[in-house]
Amino acid sequence: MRNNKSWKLETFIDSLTIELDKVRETLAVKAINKPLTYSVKDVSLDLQIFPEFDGDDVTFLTAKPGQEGASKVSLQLGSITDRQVRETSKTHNSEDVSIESVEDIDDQTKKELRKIGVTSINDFKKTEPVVRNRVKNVNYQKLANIINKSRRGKNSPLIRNVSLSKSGDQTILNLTGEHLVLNQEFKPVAKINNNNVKVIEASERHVSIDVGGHELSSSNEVMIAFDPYAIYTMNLKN
Amino acid sequence: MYNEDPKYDLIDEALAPVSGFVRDIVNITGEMIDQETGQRMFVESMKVTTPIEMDVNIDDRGDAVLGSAPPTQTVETSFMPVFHHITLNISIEEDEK
Repeated sequence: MRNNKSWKLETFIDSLTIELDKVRETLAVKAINKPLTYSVKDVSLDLQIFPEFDGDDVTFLTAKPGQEGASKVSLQLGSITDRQVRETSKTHNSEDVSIESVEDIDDQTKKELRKIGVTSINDFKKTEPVVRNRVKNVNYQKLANIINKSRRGKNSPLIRNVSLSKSGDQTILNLTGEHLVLNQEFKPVAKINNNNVKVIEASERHVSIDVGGHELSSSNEVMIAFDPYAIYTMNLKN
Repeated sequence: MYNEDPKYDLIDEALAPVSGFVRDIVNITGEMIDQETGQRMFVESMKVTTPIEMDVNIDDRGDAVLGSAPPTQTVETSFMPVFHHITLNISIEEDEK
């Protein structure tokens, strides 16, 4: 044992699984040429190890010759089908963001969230009240800001169409597109030619702005803050 | 033969990567034919339980590199290797029956 470092169970199982996958791949090739082929249905492994706990993580050190008092860890690995993998794996949709990939979240917070199975921003959104009860030592306001910023980073607002309409005395500026308003807690703010105007309707795909009594000239600067991380400025020619 | 990946250099030279060790156990003929009568039998399933020596190394990337082999020492001495145990349930591929 030239390199007897302590290891995490997850690391060990990952490597063991990769090794068993290699066996399966070899046998699959063999099966093409040889009709009678065997496969490993399940594996159990009893390991002599010394557990270590550093106050945060449990790691294991493989027992070396001459060492006594080792603990035994028993692992059982069964084979599962592709269908079972799909059924038991969480798939992050393209609009979701993995917590692990958000650089601004510190390692300690990531670890605390991972412990309770929160691995993506959608996980966090769905379970936020429970998470707040279970994990106390996290600055949730800061985390929410980071998450909103990160969501925005992946889903920049995309304006596809701009139109003007009349409703009675009101002149309405309609914007349609994608990812316009992602954070319903923040009401968009708009200005036309540096004058505040009222946002009367706001959703992910549609925003309506009451131009009010402001006269539109031949060239108008429209500024709209969909949220603190997405401020859009455009020049509207009348 | 097994050490096609340089990471396996970390493994004690008396041991093999786990994939090589398991592959050797599973790689059986499994078929018995009586040449006189032509009767044919095959092994349907097999359970192998064996003590093994195991080497768990951690490479520079933090991944585990696992080496294993059946006991390399069969004579009892005052300084014995540590034996772990592995059980493999092996069976014929379903669509081969």
